[in-house]
Amino acid sequence: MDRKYLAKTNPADDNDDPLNPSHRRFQFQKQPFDGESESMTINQEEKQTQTKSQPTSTQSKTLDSHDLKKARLNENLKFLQGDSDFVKKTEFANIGKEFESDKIGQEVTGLLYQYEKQKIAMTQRQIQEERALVQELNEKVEQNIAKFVNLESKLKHKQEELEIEVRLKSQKLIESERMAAIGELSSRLAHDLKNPLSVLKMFTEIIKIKSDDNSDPTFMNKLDAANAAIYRMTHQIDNVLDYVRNTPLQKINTTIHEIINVALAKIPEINQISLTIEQKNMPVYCDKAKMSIVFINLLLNSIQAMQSQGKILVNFYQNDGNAIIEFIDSGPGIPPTLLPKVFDPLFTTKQHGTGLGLATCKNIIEGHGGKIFVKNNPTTFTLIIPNNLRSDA
Amino acid sequence: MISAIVIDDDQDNVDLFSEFLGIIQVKSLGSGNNGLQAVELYETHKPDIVFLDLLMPDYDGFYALKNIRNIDPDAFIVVITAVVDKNSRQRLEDLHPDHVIQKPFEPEQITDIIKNFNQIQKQSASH
Repeated sequence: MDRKYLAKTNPADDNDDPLNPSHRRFQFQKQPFDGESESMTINQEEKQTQTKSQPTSTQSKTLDSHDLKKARLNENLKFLQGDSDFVKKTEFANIGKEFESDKIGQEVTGLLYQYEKQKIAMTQRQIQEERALVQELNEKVEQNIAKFVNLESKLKHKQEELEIEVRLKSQKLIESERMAAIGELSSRLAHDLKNPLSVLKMFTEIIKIKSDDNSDPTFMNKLDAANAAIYRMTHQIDNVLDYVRNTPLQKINTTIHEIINVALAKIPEINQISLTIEQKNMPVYCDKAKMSIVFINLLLNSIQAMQSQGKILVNFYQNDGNAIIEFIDSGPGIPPTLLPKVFDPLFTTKQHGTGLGLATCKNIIEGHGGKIFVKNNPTTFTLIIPNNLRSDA
Repeated sequence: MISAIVIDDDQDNVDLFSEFLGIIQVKSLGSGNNGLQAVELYETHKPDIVFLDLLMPDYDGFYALKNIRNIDPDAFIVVITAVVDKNSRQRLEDLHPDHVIQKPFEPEQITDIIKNFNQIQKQSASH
């Protein structure tokens, strides 16, 4: 498009007063944004300087920014000095305006660009911050989920534990109810058996006394055999009762010698064997009656195993808060295959045994929080009982 | 001669035990089969020793023990019983019998008690 033509045809140019500073200022401001104004300025230039040529214009465009600034400054100075003779202005000065508009345009563009850049940077920063936040939240959520999973597994575990406990407790309850019923039944049965046994016993004793002068030597032996039978029945009844009676322990401060004495009083066969008991007595905190049942059973077992001929050694000592008691006999020992079974209820190798003697021992010792075990060579039953003597008992 | 009464719900036991007491020089003043009879016999005869069974129908040994103690706190009472279960053990201990013997018993257990009783009597007589 021809610039000159465009300028001439623009009616606004005719009224334009380039000498009016305010007007010009307005033009300056408008210039970068308005292509029309630019051509208008060129028009002014043509009016003012007839010598205007294109090459100069292109040449001036190559001026560096320093010259541009200088020119702009000069022009501004002229305005300040009140030099209104615009026609006198050099071509440079006028051309400078053209660059100035570019400059301002550049500046504004630059500013806009920077503003946009800052905005983008800010948005990016915001995005980054939000990303970090999201990540943080994600981590927290993951942590919480992990916690929940952990808690859930703990709850499950606890539930399982409780279920097992409930099962065990109800089993125990059923067991104890059953044992209570069996205990009551056994108690009545024992009562009803022991009364006639007592009659028999009394009878044999009276006959014995009255037949003191009996000439038949086998007669007394027969009476003794009858008495032994009565004793055996009594012991077996006691054995069953001891096993089924799950009475609470009545722990007292006693001594091993006291328990042994209680036990020996109930074992008539003890006189037939050689019994050695640790001389140094030892205090022990336990249920004396129940512990004597253990001692009776272990001593009787040994006597029967040795067929009433041999030695029994009862050894005991305190070790690390425990009372250790050993029953060692000179019997043949227990066949290795039977060793693991000897404490099982109803296990017996004897014709007259109930199979409850050692099971009862185990029950009683475990009731005391202790342990019982057996080994061969020599046959040794060992009791380990927690022995915390009570000052208040 | 020491005197005694014998109470047991098993008549065979009563008869044989009374015979045994005769052998060991203890005079049986009477016998009964329940706790109520025991109290009546004690009041009537005031024996030195009471041989008392525990489990008897209607009036049991606990009834007798308690009521005889009421009449005479120093009464010498020997309980002879087949079974003492966990419930009655404490009840029995609270009534303080002088001796408790489990059935069936050895004759020596009775003779020891009689000897013991004789010694106590001699001691109290000499004071």
